[in-house]
Amino acid sequence: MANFDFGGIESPSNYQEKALCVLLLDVSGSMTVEGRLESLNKGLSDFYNDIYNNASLSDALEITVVTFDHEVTQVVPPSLVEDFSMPLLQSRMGLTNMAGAIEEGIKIVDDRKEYYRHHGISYKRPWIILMTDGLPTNEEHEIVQATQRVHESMDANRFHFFPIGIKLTDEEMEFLKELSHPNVPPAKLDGLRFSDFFLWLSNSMEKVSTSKDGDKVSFEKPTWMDGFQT
Amino acid sequence: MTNSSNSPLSTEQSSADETETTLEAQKEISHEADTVEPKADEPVEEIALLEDEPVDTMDTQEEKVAGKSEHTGWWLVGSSAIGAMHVQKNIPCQDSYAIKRLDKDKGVAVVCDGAGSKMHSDLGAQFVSDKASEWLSQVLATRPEVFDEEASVQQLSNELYTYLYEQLANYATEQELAFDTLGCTLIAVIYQPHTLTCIHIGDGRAAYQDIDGDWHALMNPWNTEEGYTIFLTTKAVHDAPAPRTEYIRSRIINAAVASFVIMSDGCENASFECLILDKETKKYIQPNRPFPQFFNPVKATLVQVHRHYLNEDEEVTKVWTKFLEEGTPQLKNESDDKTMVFAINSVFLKSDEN
Repeated sequence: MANFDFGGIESPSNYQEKALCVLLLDVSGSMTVEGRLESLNKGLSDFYNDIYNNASLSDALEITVVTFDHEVTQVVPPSLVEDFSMPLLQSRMGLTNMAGAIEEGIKIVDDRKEYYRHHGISYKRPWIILMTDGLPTNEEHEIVQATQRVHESMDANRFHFFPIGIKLTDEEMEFLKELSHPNVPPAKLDGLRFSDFFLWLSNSMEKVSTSKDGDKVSFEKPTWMDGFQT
Repeated sequence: MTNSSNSPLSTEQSSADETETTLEAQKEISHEADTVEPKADEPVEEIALLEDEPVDTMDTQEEKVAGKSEHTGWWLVGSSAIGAMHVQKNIPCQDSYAIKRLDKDKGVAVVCDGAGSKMHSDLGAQFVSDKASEWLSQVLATRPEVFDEEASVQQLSNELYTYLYEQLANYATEQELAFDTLGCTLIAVIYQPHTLTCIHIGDGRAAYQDIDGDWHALMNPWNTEEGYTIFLTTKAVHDAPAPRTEYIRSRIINAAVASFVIMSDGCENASFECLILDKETKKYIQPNRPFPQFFNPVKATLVQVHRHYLNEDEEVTKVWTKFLEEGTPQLKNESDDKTMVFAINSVFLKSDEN
């Protein structure tokens, strides 16, 4: 085969399609025991670095960090890693306004999608990850409403909602199961393997980000999960 | 703890936002009218074998013996290159293409892109590209006038769809495969001296170059707002009333055309402006614009390749395959399968392209 030099070709500057990951993180009082918060902070730092060092993912993945105790705080708005530094989370020994956090997470997703649409940016279905080490301290009707929002939104394919239990009892995991949509049941973290979880999450976000329309995405084995059999 | 089969922990999740009820309308098709010069004779290469049609290769042999080939008319090359992600996941290339030349200046080119998630979509794409190109070349040989007018093309596109759907359903039954595992998109171009007709279902991209040298999009890929496309097997398409123009798109260019290119979406980021920042409005727009700084240099090199190899299609295809695999950084880093058919009308080559 003779050699032909396909020279002089330029590439169009196409904007990378976006993927959004919303982290709803429990910073209530119980997270200060057994080094839970320290492990979470280490996991978040590893997550950030993993994405930062991944050329295509760092261009595509927008991350939002929301912390909740009795209040809900958006500590990082939807941003590419180059546009923020991962904050060190702290606890004020507060309660657990989980319902408020979920409502905030859903609002962030809706607002960001509106932004994407307004600017003609194509995007993948967002992920909302809830990480909690306890039951909510909300009123029952607030939990019912949040559960309903999650279920309806998942039925309409508006986002994926994935709750992770940290050191929860079986009974507490049952609560998370009620909250979750049947399509995506909750998982329990094996001990405090936050870093392993976040590594799995960044790999998963990469698969989502590079998947094609209509594709089903196959995720890696969740070895960070309590009870996972290899 | 048990996980449902749809948990991200155990199997697969769809990444697209799928709104099955509302489907965004595409822009209306437009026409251009013009005249075309007849072409000189060209050695016949690949021909769709029609009933009772002799394959004429005399001119080719005589001209080769004389040490010279006219090598005029349309030059086409196509290839599929497997994407990096498919290699990683151990999935075969799910793109397919077909070229059927009826004679030097008319024929059919088809590209199909198998649905990524569907297990046997590689078989579906191959089957559909074969059947579609065969069917269209038969129509081109027997009643070419149907490609000249919008109404008849829409009708024909629906006939093509119905034919392919039935054939695919029979194939699925024979092979004992689930019908929807064969899902794929389709882009078909029927080229004639005076007309270029494009029919498509789903996404991918297509471009043509007018005789002044300017490149234009030949179709708008079919996508919802959130990136969901459709396949030959999609239920919403089948359930729509004939002629299904919401889903089966067609366009006629009633003009002489210098080149046309059709491709699966794995090639689009390297060759089209798909999603760019409009510097004036500071908004992101989806211009669906073929990038001349890609197409012009590629065409210039392909002209050299065709002139070097003349009728040796296999050699031209090898060069083209290598280009799709790694010819630009964007092509090289593309994770999806890449298929592109590049057609050049040698009649309109400018003197500096010869």
